[in-house]
Amino acid sequence: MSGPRSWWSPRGVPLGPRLIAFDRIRFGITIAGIGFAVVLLLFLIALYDGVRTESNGYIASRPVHAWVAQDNTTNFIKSSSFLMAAGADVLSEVDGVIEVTPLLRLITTVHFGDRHATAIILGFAPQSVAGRPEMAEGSAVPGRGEIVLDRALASQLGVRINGTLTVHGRAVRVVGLSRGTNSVMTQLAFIPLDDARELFGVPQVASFLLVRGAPEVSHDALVERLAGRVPRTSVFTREQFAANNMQELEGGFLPILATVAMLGGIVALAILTLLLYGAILEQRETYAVLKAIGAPDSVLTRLILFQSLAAVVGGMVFGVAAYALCAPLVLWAVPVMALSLSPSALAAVGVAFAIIGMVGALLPLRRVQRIHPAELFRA
Amino acid sequence: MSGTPAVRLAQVSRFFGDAGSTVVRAVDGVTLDAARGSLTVLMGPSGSGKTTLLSLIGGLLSPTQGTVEADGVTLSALDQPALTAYRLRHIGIVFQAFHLIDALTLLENVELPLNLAGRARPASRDRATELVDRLGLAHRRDVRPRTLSGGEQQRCAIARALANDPMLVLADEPTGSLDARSGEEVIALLHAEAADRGRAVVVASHDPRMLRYADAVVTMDFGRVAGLTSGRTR
Repeated sequence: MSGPRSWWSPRGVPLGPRLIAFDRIRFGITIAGIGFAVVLLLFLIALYDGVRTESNGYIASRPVHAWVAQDNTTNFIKSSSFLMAAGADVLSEVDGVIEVTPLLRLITTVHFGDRHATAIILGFAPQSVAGRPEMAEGSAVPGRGEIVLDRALASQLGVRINGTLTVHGRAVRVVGLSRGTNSVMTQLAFIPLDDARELFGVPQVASFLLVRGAPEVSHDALVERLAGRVPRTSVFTREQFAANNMQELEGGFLPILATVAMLGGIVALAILTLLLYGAILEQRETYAVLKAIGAPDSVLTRLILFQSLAAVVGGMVFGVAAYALCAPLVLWAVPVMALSLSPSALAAVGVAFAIIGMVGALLPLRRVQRIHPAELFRA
Repeated sequence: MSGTPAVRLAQVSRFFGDAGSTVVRAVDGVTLDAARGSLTVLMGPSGSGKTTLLSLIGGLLSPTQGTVEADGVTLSALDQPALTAYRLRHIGIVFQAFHLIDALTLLENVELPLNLAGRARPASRDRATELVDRLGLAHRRDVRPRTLSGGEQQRCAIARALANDPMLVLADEPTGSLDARSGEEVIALLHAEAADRGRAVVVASHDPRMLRYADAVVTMDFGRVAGLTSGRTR
């Protein structure tokens, strides 16, 4: 005679599914509990990825070889940098350099009707592709008196293309909405460099110089050539500058999100364990009967794991569906929220919850081991 | 077949409680044989040790002292997995409170031990159907236990106990939760399993109707065998 056959085999009584179906209200509550934990976790991960992608998107995607900043300035996000724009002329003379474009960064409040928001205004040379943002809508080349806004900032202000904002007391017309320019805490807005200098009264000043080199010149080689050409400047490859920014992000806001995400996982584990444990107590008699009629421990283990993993799968489906429904609503309600959920992040959450399902089954398994079939004689 | 010892208990004791606290001698030095083809009834007042003795015979409890042999196998020497496997294939248990699995239909309750023992469908379903029909439950195969009468539930529990064709059937107060007529049916069924199919049937009961069918009556008191009577009194 062969060994004990799996109860979920199509060739036998489907005990696991039957137990779930019999106690479907409790199982539904378990799925909902896990599902809400999944939603929470997905939002945190999406926000984490969104902040990473959006905050660094503009910096990392510049079609340039190098960023030049004031000495001791290592990143765009958490630093100030002031350079004399004339440095651009010096760097233009360096062998292998095709173009040097100044970028002026200033922080101010923009107004639209009775709404206002803080934004990072970037003055750039519209005729150069180096400073142009990636567009969601409209033109990436603002003329004098025009502005390109991050799309989340536009939503927050309630302004559309052709709307008129006030920046530093001057009216500017919105001609485009950009993407990859939202760092959640603040958003970018783009105006012509001359307008920026005029508005803020800082002629001949730049914050950064973007250097585009010949295609055959490596980024590292160009940085070596540029270093020291303009006094009191630091030169970075685009990749290094983007990495510096990411490091700033990961040292600040992101660890908080990661911690909250981990807490979400722990909450999910606690919910699963608690509800599964409750289900085992409710089904105590069934497990005692199974032991009495000779069900081996392996069958009982598989039965618990089946219920646990079924709850996790159900919770994942519930959670992903709820996320898909809620994410657009959240973005509508909070336009500056940056959410980005990749398939690999989703797969990682699935794997994490499968592990949570198995770990969550440990305590109920121990409880089942302590159920003694002889207790059936007393009831 | 009849008369061959299926179960042999030699000086079996089971004590509860730790050293230093009060030790309860639930079963104390019991020596007993139950033959194949016989119906053995354990009688005695509540707390006399009948149920503990059934648990020892069924391998649900291990003896503190002595040995329990079933069909030549010393149960008290087996580890838990081996004991569980032995119980699955050789021992059927019937409880006073039926203890059917509510999540399963009547037929599935009977089929489950067959699957656990390695018999797959359609053989397991055929065997369960045969048993359910034989015990007069053909019209109730696909209903849940909760919707059955007490007598029907107990017959289903007996069918489950018989699924793997065990040589030993243990029943704890099988008529305790039944009306008079259902109780009679269950007693007759258990007797038939012993007399017609050569199983050893051991029943713990307060029901005096059992005595009419018993091949041996063991009277328990304070965990000991207070009396042993052979032959039927009907």
